[in-house]
Amino acid sequence: MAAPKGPRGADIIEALKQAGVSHVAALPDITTSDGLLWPLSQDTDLKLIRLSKEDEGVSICAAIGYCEKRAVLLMQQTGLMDSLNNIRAVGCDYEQPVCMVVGLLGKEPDKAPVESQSFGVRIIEPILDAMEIDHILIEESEDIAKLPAAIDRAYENSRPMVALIGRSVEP
Amino acid sequence: MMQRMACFKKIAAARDGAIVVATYTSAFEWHRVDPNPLNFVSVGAMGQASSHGLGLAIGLPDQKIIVLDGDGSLLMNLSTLTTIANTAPNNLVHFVVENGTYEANGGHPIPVQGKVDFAGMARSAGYAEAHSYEGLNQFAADLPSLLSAPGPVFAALKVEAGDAPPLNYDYEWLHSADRRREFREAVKPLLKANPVSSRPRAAPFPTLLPPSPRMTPARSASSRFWLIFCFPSSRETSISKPTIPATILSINSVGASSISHGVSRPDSCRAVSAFRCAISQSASSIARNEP
Repeated sequence: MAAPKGPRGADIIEALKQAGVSHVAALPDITTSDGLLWPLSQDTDLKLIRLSKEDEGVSICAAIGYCEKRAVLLMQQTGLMDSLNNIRAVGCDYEQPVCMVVGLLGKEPDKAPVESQSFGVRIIEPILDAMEIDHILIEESEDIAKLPAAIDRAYENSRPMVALIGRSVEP
Repeated sequence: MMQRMACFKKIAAARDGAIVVATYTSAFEWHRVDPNPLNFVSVGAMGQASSHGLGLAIGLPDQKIIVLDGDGSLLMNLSTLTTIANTAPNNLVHFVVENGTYEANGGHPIPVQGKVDFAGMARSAGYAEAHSYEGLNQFAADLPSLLSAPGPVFAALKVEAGDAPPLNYDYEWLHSADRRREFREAVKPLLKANPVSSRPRAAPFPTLLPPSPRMTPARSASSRFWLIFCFPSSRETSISKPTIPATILSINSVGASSISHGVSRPDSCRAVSAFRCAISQSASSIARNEP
């Protein structure tokens, strides 16, 4: 049986634009590389900031927010884990609207994240819950409609937000 | 060797309306030298001053941004050098106050104290300019060109350790929401064009969420049966304390949704929480992939 299809990268890019995002800070993630990051790198409306380490992106996106512009941090869940202290400090303690799009490397396409055989995937949603961080799951194109509203909510409430990408993004 | 306060006084005299992003000990000392609402001290985790500086330099490309970093702080975020060099903001000046110690944490030495060449690192990473100063006269003489040269510019300032007054700093002041509010207000006049609120939005993304009443899963992906009651008044009361389950079985054994962990949180966050719970419970992959 063919694996379920993931979301389309072009739709995610449109959703980011719809949410008023002007900058994307990113480190490559194989879940989103071909379908999202490569097209993003050629998009003329969204400015791509290539990071050397993910927690830099938390600060960069928050700082861009002070300038009344919207930014999104694109990374893998391993980068999310590596950035937790800065997300805690800037996103949670300082209540800044740090918006993150996170590829779940190793997640099975037909399972919920918490049902994954991968420990690194299984713990992500409970950790976000423990940190009181709003999160949505994007697994197919229909889910992308949730993204602009989630970003708007993050800025309206000045709180961090994570959009988890549960399947490989389709070009 | 220079004294930090003497360096800061020189920078303050040449500031000319620049935003100054300062970290921890430098933030307290800088505020003492030049209190100003355009001082940004809310750098979050240690090491992140330069990354905040980069974000501000990107967001305000016509505004000079000065970062007052520490050597211990820079070591904690060394990757910032290549990110800044690659982004190449021409309005960013990155000073590193090099006292060789973690001064705010007991004065312990940094690794390779006195041997590491921070300016060399910045130069190798690709900064437009990188310098190192041990004498105040030379630093003062070069400062105007450091601040006017196309960036990113880097300068290591070798200072004496412990020249600051006793470390009874008020961290509540540093991390207070008032600092961020003051800064945000001070930045507003600098925002020239294209605020997000007035920028034309792209066409609305089609709403594809399932209609209300929301669909609930007949059974989970692991073939466990679900029985879910949806009462209109249950959205707030269904929020539970956060848990980090050891296994999926531990979730199912208590009858909880494996995809919606409600959390107990302050009232200000409850609306967000409730909304997320509703969305994640009804529009998850399990809901759509039910057998």
